[in-house]
Amino acid sequence: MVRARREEEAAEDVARDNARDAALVERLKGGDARALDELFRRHRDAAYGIAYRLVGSREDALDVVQEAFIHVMRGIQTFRGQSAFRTWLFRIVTHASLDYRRWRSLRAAESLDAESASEPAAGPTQRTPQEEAADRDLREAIDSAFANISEKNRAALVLFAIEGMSYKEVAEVLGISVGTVMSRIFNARQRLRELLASEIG
Amino acid sequence: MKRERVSDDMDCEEIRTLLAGYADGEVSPIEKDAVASHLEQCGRCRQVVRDQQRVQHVLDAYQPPPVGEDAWNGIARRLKAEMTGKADPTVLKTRARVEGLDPTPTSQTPLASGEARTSGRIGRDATPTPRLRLTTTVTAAPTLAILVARPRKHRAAFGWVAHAVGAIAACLVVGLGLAAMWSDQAPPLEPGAMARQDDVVILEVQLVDENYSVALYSGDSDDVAAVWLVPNEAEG
Repeated sequence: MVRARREEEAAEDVARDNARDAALVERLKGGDARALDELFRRHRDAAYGIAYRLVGSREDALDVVQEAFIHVMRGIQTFRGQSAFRTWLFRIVTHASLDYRRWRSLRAAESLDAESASEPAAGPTQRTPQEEAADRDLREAIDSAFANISEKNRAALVLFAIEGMSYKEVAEVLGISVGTVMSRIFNARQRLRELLASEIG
Repeated sequence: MKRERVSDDMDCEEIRTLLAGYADGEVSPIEKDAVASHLEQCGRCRQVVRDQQRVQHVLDAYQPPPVGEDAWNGIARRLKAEMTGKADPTVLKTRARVEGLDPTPTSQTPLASGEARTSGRIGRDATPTPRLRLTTTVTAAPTLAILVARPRKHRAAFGWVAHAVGAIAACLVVGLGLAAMWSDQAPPLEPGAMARQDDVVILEVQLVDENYSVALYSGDSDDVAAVWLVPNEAEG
């Protein structure tokens, strides 16, 4: 009973958020810069969470977020509202992140600078004291493990595990079936289980 | 996927496709019952579910490194500049041709008008960089008037003259339009530039080294479809 009520409230929250996004999208289509700013502030953390998990570093993730919102700004007239804005945005962030990784790989391959090519995947430059105190070993282990699972499986797991999206939402973002989402998440976690065996027992 | 047709006597191979969903509470009641029934008698699959939940638990507790408000505000300022600096809010079209690597089919329909905009990156590219020439062909929207010379019935003897005049006029208009499109050129794009054309969006151009840059290119507004390695043009 309590769980059902919570789910109902959560659904109402989502509907309210989507309605707010839809209103902002309409204002943005009309050229309102403040609407873009509010959309950015509402979704920047989620976009960053996805991008970080997919590109593996804070700075690169911020670049991806910026580019994704520029893409939103430029492509907003093509957004017909058939899916939630959040779904559309996450699709852009996901694709931009995966391409960013490919671009980085290409750049590393082209470069003769071995130091640059071996740059650590995660290199936050503005760490807080709390972050310093966090379990760095586990973070690095997870970062490294994520880098070793396939892009497709990683994207599905990131959207579900990091952003808390449902399988259905992940399927919408990635343009695949719910069954495929389930399979990819399963495979991604099995692979992580192998890679993190020493860390998580 | 036939997700509702789940039998009670599924083997491990079949049940495996549902274990992630079971661990995440993302299966239907029928599937849930079938998996639970299987797990009662299969220790191996029970272990797989525990592994799935354990990895998920680790991921739940894990957060990416935090981002300071300064960094967010920097991006917000950049977005605002992009937004307010836009001269024409309507969707413009550009024919983008990268020197030596034309991203567009040569048979593509001539485009109407264009934009070429530069975009910076956060705390990067502070040093001067070689210019990448992305040749953009920009014209005013072509309004091709198709002239049809319709001979009058009572002057049928001169009908062929009217047809010839009409054909020449139409060729002239089309020729002038094409000449204008291919002659106008927008300024070269900086690394980080964005351009748009009919069904191609160059999302970003980034410098690789002094010789090459990379353009991220999207087939439509949603999907990034390709990456081009593009030779730079030395700044003249």
